[in-house]
Amino acid sequence: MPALAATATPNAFRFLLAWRGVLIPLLLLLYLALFTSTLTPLLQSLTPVGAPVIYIRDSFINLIGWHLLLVVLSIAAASLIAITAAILVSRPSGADFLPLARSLANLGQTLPPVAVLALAVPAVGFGSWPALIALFLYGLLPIFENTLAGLSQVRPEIKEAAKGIGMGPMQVLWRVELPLALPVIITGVRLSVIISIGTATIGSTVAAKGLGEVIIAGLLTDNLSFILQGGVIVALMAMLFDALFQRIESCLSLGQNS
Amino acid sequence: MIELQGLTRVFGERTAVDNLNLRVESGQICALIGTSGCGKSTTLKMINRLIEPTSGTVLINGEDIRNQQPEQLRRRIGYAIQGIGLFPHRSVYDNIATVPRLLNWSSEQVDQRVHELLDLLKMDFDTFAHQYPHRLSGGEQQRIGVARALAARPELMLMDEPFGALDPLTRERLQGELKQIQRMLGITIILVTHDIEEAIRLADQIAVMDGGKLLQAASPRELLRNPREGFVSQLVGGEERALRLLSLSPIADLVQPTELFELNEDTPSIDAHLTLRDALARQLWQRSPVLRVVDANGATCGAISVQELLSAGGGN
Repeated sequence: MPALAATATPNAFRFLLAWRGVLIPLLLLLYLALFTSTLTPLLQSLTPVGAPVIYIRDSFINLIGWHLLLVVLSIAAASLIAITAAILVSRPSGADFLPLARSLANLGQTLPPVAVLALAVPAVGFGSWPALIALFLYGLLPIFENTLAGLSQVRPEIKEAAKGIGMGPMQVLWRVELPLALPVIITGVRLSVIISIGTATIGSTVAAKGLGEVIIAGLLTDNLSFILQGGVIVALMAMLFDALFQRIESCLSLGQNS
Repeated sequence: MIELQGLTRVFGERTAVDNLNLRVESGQICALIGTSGCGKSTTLKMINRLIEPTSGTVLINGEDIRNQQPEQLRRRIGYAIQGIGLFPHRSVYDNIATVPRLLNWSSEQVDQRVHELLDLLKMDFDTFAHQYPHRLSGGEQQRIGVARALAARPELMLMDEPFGALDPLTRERLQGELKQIQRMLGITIILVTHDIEEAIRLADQIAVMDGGKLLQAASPRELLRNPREGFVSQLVGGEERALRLLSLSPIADLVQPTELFELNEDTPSIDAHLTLRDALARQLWQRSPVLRVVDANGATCGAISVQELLSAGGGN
């Protein structure tokens, strides 16, 4: 069936082209995580004599899973809080709290995650909790600011029309403001996710599970190969999620280029 | 019937609308006209409670609008503003379906209504229903805005400068369509404009506002013949008044029997449904004091002379 083939091929090609930003990091990541040992000859020269070339104390898939869990949980919580706060302070009744909310979100970004870790350990002990707290605080600001920006760029005439044809305040918010602000909000979440993927590595200094373990092990034993493995995998994860969120953003804003 | 009684709105120090009394009969178009900041939009928004009056009442069919939830009230009143009020993230279909869905119509009812409205506005369902607003021209967007306002079969429609952003040709065409639809559905329209031509073309009653006060409310003919001194006179235009007055009447009103004139093949002809203003323009252009008047089938049904026009276009 030549006709079918002729239409199927460009479609598949277009799909690959659109998703290449996601697929390339994904494939590289899978390769690195599952077949790290095939790189042994390459990494040999970076390893001190007698030391292991490939990190073996835990599987990379496992570490990636833990790393992502940390990021997803903290950014989910940060999104929930930051988006809710931005919605509240963008309502007429909450406008008074805008400066306060803004300075709190800024504070989260200003405190270095390392300092947060150091402060959190005495309070909640070693493990994943201090890392979650640090990532959560660090992730608030981009999401908060982008939600505010997204909501404020909805043209007043559109909100007035929505109100004028009989939508209540919640309906205007859910059916008009949030859908229109969504691409910008997603951009904020994307920024926070990418920052967190990188920042989560230092969580390993307080015994949070994640890819930071590999890098820290490398630093402690002067093993450049370990540092490279951990670093490259983290970088690929960041690229993967960046591309994934960009795809979501472009799909969302497809219908509404006004 | 809509009645505004002693309607006043004060914003801080400024009185935007000052003790306004106005009555609009059912099935009529009322144009609120004035310069920007004269309070016409504020007045309009007090009718659907987008703005609450400082004092005074609005009665719709004798019932005080404060007895209804604002949202419930607004769903019963069509509301159309300049085309930019469409929801950019929703298709034409979903834009039109907004109010029926708020009123929990079944999806079959919604679907049928969207078809009807696109039909009414002479827009092809398959071409337009699933487009997004940014893909439409200004005139098409405005039509959808009107369709959305009409979706839940309101008896009253409020329009805030609905044709303000359109080019003159499109504007004139849409004004014609609006008037036709309004006559067909028998709805009441209150419309805000700053364009006196638009008000004269569309309205049964023109309410002139300045500085928050209603200066004069009258039919277009009355307003042109007897404008109050000052702002109203300025607005309706000095010399141009005569032409605007002529534009209010169809040629049919002044047709005389052909026997009174000597018509021959060279006498220019004109359609009976055009206005007296068109007839005068044709007479000037063709340098002919008499025109043959023809009906829709092209048959001669009389004649119109420049003398008759002179008697109709004058002041008192």
